[in-house]
Amino acid sequence: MWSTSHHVLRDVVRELTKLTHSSVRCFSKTSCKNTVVVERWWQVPLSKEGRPPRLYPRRHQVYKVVEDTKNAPKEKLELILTQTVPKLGGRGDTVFVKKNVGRNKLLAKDLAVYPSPENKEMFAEELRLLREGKPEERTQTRTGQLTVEFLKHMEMKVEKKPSEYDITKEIVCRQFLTKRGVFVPPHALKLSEEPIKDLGDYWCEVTVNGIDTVRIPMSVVTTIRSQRQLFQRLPFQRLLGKHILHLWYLILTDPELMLSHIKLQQNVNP
Amino acid sequence: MPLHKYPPKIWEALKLKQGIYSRLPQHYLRSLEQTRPPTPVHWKPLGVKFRANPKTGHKERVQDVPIPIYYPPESHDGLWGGEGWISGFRYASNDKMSNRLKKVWKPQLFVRELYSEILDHRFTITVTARTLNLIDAAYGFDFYILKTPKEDLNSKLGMDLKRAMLLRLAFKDTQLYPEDPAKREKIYAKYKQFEIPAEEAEWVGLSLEEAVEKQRQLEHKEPEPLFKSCVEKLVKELAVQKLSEPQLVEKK
Repeated sequence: MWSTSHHVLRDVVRELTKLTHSSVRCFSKTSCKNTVVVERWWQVPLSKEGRPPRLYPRRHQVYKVVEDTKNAPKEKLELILTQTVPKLGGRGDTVFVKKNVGRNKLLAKDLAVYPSPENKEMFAEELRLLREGKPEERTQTRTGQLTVEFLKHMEMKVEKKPSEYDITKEIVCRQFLTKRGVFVPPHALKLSEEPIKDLGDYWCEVTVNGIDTVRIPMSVVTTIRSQRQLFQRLPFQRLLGKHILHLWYLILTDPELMLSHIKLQQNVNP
Repeated sequence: MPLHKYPPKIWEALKLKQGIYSRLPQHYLRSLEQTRPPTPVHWKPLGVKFRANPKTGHKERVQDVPIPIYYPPESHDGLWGGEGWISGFRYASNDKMSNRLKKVWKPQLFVRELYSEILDHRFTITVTARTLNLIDAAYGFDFYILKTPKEDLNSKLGMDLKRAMLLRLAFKDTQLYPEDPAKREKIYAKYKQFEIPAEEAEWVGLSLEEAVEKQRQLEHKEPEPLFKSCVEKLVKELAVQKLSEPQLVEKK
């Protein structure tokens, strides 16, 4: 009944329409094509058990859209990286990325894998080897390497108050944390064996991840409390309100200075 | 006197019991019978048989009524992940008392390149966003194809890919990465749980017509020329005749 020419024409038209609605027509003109979840306006009457329900097309094919997945919030994709990726992390890190980035960049180019139980086991084993394996077999992590690089170019100034006391490991660790933001546990820090009492230059060694050691020059100096240092703030303090913190600091240290500061403020903002 | 010998409703089942259909392998016929309804994609199932009526609060029996979805022939050339066209009506501005308008909801399709590890090939397939999400949930394209049952894949291409993957896993020594034994072991260990014997893997995902054709090809024999059978018969007859003649032994 259908001639071959009709078949050919139908196929040609189908091919043309396929091409046009993907490349030529812009998004505003194409009709909505998404995953929709619909429900019926009219309830279908219950049928006996075992029998299919009787549907009347005029009544039971009227639908309303419950949910359209294109309007749902886009969920992030969880992946485990296999190599160092800039701005995301190193090998073995679990990252949450947007779905298009994860699928087109990471998974397509083998930079990441899905977090299936088998893959997670593999990376957990690698981590275990790092912690418990022999010192020769362990490899430094990416973050460990970055820390080593950072420590190499660092000079440490340990402050000592004029009273008589030794500089111990805990004091140096605390100074590391407050001044440079580097957390050094006491077992990773090695000071010289002689007790440090006087001001001067010394060495200290920091071991990163139990694999690499960095020697950092350390100078013990007296505490200099300059006007600038008085109001020097740690990064978290900058998040809190400027003036509130300022006032609190003054209340705690010097009430007279606080009063003069308030008078100044009042002059500036009447 | 009844109109038919057997009621028409069982004619389809009876047809599968006679002729070449009866000679199809048993596991294939069983797979044809074990159809279950597809997982609901475009409607939310209630899931329970009884629930409390939201208005009165009394217990009532409820049933899931699936929404009829149309799967166009293009859906079998791609992996649409159970989505299809919903053709029906809607009320203008969602108001029951206003006009009833015809409406067809269609899924948004993308053309994506998906790589299969077992088959070691990049396939350009039309997929939907839901398919890509399902692939992520199954932790891999091969896992998705091998895990989802026939009714949920809902695509000839999907079943063909499944059949190819299962066959390749069955003949792993010859077909799965013939030049790279290390990679072969790794991939095989990953997908070992889905392996099935080669005879069953050959019939996975075949439609009834394809299966019948395959069975016909298997049973096909070249017709033997009548000459051969006649010659054999004649030889047998002559041998019998020769043996039945009494043997004359000359007296010396």
